[in-house]
Amino acid sequence: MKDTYLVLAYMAIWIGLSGYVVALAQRQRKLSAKIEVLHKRLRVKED
Amino acid sequence: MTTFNRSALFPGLAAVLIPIAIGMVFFYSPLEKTMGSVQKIFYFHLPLALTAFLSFFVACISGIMYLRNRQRIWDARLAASVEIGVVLTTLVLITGSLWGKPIWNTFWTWDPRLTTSLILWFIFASCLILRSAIDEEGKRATFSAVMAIVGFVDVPIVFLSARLFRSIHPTVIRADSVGLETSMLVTLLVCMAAMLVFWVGLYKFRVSLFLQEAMINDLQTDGTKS
Amino acid sequence: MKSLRQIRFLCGKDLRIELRKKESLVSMAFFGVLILVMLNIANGVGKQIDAEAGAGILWVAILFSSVLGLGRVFAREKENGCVAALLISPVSSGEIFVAKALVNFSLMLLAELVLVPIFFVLFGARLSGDPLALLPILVLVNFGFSTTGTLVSAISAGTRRNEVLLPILLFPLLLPLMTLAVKATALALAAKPLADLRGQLEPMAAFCVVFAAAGYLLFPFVLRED
Repeated sequence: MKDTYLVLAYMAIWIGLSGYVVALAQRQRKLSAKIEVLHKRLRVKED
Repeated sequence: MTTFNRSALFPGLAAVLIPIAIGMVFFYSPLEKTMGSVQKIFYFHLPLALTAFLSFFVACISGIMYLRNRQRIWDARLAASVEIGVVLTTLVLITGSLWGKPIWNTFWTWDPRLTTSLILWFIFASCLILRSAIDEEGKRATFSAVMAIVGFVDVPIVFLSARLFRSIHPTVIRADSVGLETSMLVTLLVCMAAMLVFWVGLYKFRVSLFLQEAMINDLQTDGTKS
Repeated sequence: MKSLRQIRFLCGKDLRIELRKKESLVSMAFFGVLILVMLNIANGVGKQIDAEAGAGILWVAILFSSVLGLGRVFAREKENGCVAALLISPVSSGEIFVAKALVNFSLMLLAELVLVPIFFVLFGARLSGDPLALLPILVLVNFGFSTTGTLVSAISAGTRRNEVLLPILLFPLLLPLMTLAVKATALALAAKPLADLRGQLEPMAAFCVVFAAAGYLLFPFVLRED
């Protein structure tokens, strides 16, 4: 019974930390999309 | 100047150290007599707490440095360290709670360390809320720098007052009357190292994200101007 | 000393404005009494409370009433566009800080003159303490609240969400002061002698000194952001 808490705790740590990393990666992906948009806009201006 | 985080050193190291640490926790470290296997939460609970504290310390220093020379890099460091600190402190509270329930039969106790963690959580979470409420970069940076500094200055006071507070209730639980034998100490140190390396990697990633967002923002506003 | 004169001038100006219309004072006292009544009902009509619960109730009421007054300290200046005038004037930001803190201190004291008696009326049935014994606690809390509050209120007034942000930013920082105050008040309400309270009053005084210094040093940075 006690061991459930141990498992839960480590699950919480894992989900918490990897969840945060995934959230950051998601932000990075959105940034890359923005760069693409800006780049396209620059291309259009040059033409 | 390397604005962005270009090295995979720390993530790589973390990817190696963390599995080793977890392996040691579950297969190498001994079973504790009084608490049993639940005690093993400690091997990450403590490193999480210390790393969170380190994060907030970095935040305070970054705040001071920003107020001194107003460079964006210090605001980036402040934002990153506060955010990571809050995430880590959340985990400290959750793991502390989950450890407390089977041992003391309660999810919460006004133990000075848990109390300090809770108040720290509130102080720096409020700093994050403040940041989300301001759009101008300079103002946001200055205000959050001030809050991070006072927040961190509060920490020793919080800890001392929490110790005084709990003496109303003499039946307080003494959590860490665990003598650390060598194998436990070694496991703890490995976990601590893993956590530190992980923090550095995470911190650099977050700072670089902040800088990228700021730069793109600059480009966008310049684009709409011309 | 020129500084003292400036401070007295600023202080006098704010207090005169306040006493003319009494808008802050009335709201503070009214809201505080309202909270006391609500807590009395929440506690269960007819049920009596002991010293510890009473201490908590009193301080919740005082805290929420004081935040009301604090929120107006800078909001009023901003509404009338006076901040720029303050900055151009020969008054230093340090003097502005002291003046504002003093104003808030006085307002809190005046509101407490109403709230403490009403507290004893509503809850005092089983409390043996002497209201005057609360005075040192009140003075210390007012001091800590006013100094920290002036700094934080300057920050929150600089955002779009002043009233919402002020308690969110301020209360976590004040938690150690409040825990000590509640404990000291509980002892005072149980009619313990003043000497017993030293264990709380001394750390509270330390808190006040630290935060007064921090507030004084950081205030110029905040004021400049407008």
